[in-house]
Amino acid sequence: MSDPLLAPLAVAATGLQAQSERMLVAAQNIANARSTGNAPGADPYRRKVISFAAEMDRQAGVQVVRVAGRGTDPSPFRVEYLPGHPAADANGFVKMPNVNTVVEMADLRDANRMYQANLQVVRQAREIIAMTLDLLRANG
Amino acid sequence: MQGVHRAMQIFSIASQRAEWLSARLAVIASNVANATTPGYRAREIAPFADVLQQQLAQAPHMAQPARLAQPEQSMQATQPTQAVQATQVARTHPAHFDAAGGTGQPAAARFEVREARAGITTHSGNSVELEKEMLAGAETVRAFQVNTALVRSWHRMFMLALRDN
Repeated sequence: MSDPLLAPLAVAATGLQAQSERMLVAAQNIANARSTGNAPGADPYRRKVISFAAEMDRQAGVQVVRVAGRGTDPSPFRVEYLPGHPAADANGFVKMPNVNTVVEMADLRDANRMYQANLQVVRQAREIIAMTLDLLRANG
Repeated sequence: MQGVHRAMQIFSIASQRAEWLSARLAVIASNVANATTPGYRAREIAPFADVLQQQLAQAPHMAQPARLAQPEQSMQATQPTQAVQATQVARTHPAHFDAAGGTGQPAAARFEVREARAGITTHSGNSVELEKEMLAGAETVRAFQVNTALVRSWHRMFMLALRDN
């Protein structure tokens, strides 16, 4: 049997992990916002997406979060006219990644907020553990 | 002698309350962790009063401390629930789950967890309200503080009564 005091910590830890994975994906997208192909007409970097799913942790008896899937965004690439670019096609157009940095920044901000919320739960769980341990202190 | 027995029962209620509060925090934690999970519905744990009432229905000898916590009229309200009997499932292997509850089951599973009344549902079908969860978390910590303070002072009173001056 798992310790009921530790269950909130275990759940919050999965939440922290999920949100940092999400931040990682957003960071990858921002870093590759202008990563084009090398050959003429080649496809550039495709925006990555991540999704989560709730999963029952039988040992703790609570629902934790896990990464359900990583995929790519099928939306079309932007096209820019850059005749001098190595990836430019016959007409001088270069396919640019389908990354919108504003969307990624918003996603990053949201992931940050969720991370903080999970961290707050960790703090609260730690507090109740400390209070319970304090009971052992004599003449508290 | 009965007084000593009752004093111990108060410790037992306090320990149940602590367990319920940590299970509540675990449910809050799973709501927060799943705040970005598509289709996840926010959940909440059944109130502690329900836990006491259920116990009252199952074990009549626990009636006295429960009556301390519950008003008289709610005692009558528990009568119909007495008819609801937990189904006993045979466990033939140590890896089987103990459906009847008890120490073999995780704390969060021993309490009833249900879907919370959804206030806002996002486009992805997620009904977690982060602010509400944060508030519930803080409230749980405060209730835990009250609980430990009660145990401490009750213990002090108990020791004071036992000690010979």
